[in-house]
Amino acid sequence: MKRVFVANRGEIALRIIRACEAAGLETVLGVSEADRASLPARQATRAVCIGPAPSAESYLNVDAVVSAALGTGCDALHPGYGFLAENADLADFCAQQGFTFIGPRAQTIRELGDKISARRLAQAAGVPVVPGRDRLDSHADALAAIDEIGLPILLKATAGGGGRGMQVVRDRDRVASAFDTARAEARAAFGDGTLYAERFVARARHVEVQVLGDCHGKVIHLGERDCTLQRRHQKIVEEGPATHVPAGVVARMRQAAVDLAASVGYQGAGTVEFIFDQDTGAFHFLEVNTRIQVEHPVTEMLTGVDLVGQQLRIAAGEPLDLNQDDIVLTGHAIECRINAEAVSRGFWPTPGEIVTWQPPEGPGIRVDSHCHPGYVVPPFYDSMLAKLIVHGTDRSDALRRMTEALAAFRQTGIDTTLDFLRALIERPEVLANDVSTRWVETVLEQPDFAARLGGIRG
Amino acid sequence: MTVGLSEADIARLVHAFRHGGSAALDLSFGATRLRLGAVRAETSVEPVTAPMVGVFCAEVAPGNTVQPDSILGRIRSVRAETPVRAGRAGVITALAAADGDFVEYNARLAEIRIGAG
Repeated sequence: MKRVFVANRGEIALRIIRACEAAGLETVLGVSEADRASLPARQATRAVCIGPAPSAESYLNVDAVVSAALGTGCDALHPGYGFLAENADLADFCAQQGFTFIGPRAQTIRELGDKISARRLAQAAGVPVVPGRDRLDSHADALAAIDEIGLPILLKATAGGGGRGMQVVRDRDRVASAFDTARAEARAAFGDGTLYAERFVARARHVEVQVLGDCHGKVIHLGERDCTLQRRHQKIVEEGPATHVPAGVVARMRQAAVDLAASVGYQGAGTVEFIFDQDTGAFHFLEVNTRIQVEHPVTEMLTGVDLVGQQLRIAAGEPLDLNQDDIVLTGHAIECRINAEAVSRGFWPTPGEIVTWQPPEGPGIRVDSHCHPGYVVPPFYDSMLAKLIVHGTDRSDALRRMTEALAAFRQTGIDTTLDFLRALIERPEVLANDVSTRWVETVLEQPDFAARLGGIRG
Repeated sequence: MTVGLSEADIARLVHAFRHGGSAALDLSFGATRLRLGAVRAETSVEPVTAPMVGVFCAEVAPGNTVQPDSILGRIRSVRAETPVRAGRAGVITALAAADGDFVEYNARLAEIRIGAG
């Protein structure tokens, strides 16, 4: 491996370029027309334009990406996260063209990317999956699901997403009407009224385990991250370790993640996501992300392991130079995602020119970002501007550092989520870690919280 | 009969203007007014750029006359061949990329002198 094609943009492109530099590898960054002058384009050994600004014609265009990688003499491709990161066809295509896809094998991406097959693999590896019933055709089926799963249950559309065709059933007597409503919604939204049922977790925590596997069959975990603070399934704040999940449960999650990854011969960096039910103490498998994740710096701060560097080593066929015993989580790390969004307008994207950009600096502070004064945030892509990561001796120390770091972060020019994060991180529920995956949405509706941000709509 | 310039006079004047290096001429002679202006050479040359990233396969050479739908060459990517169309009528004055070159999206491939066919 000598020259790596970076098939991404923004902060993760910069992160990959720097990891390649540290490993002595050249980089070629594929950019859209909107990103020709970006910081990663200047940092890469070479940048080539692969298409116009809209990502469907550039960053998501497999033919353009692979043709640019081949045309510039690259022998490997790093997909980052998002865009083509979990595209099994790209992994196949790279293999056909004789260069290395820095990620798991295409077959692994395919079988873990499909929800039904991933669930089957998890079960086969002895990983707890959410109790559920696959196909409900009648009220009788729905009642049978309650008998199997226990109340409350969640009725979901097989074809669905985004909350439509979804009904919570807390009471046997309500199952018929909930079934009819969910089926009608599913038919209207997706043209398919097929429903399935699973246990409804009212107070869920999102906990995920970082794994690394090499091509010699070795799999280790690097501890877990707690990403419970989300808004509409988008993570906002991530931290580790998961101090609010009992140690015994965390140990079982870590082992479950390693067992699942080992069962598929996982190669590369991956994340096994779980839901922890705070009412019952049970946990179950959610999904596997077969890529480097946005929040990977939390694990890097805790373990001292360079995860992107490890991806490069594994892709080059080297054996993991880490043993499970080498992995020790030290202290506590927290990451905040800073987005170009107007919180007062329902988190609406706010592209435009950044005038002042002064991220905080100091011991235990890391900022991953592609922004700079004068940078014009284009309107075509994800709104994330930066990740602010802090490390402290324990959770309260890390929270204190995060409060200070957020206070010191200076940005003018566009609306960002900085004020929202400042207000969120100081909430007593966050300090006490008394939150669930739906908590951010409830706090946004509280008048005192909204007032602090000058009002919130949407 | 109106006194003015004959067609032969105009032809001679146009010829003299073309070769005289003047930028403009405004001449009235009886009922005829003749205004001539030199077209700046650089504004009549337009670039043709790559519609896709890949390897350029040229199918024209400088001096060739093209129509808007003429194909100047193709961009060969791993999965497709994308034709490069002239987009305007004119004469190819230069190729900016050689046959077999790897080109970026929107890279300059050729120059066409407009209306010079």
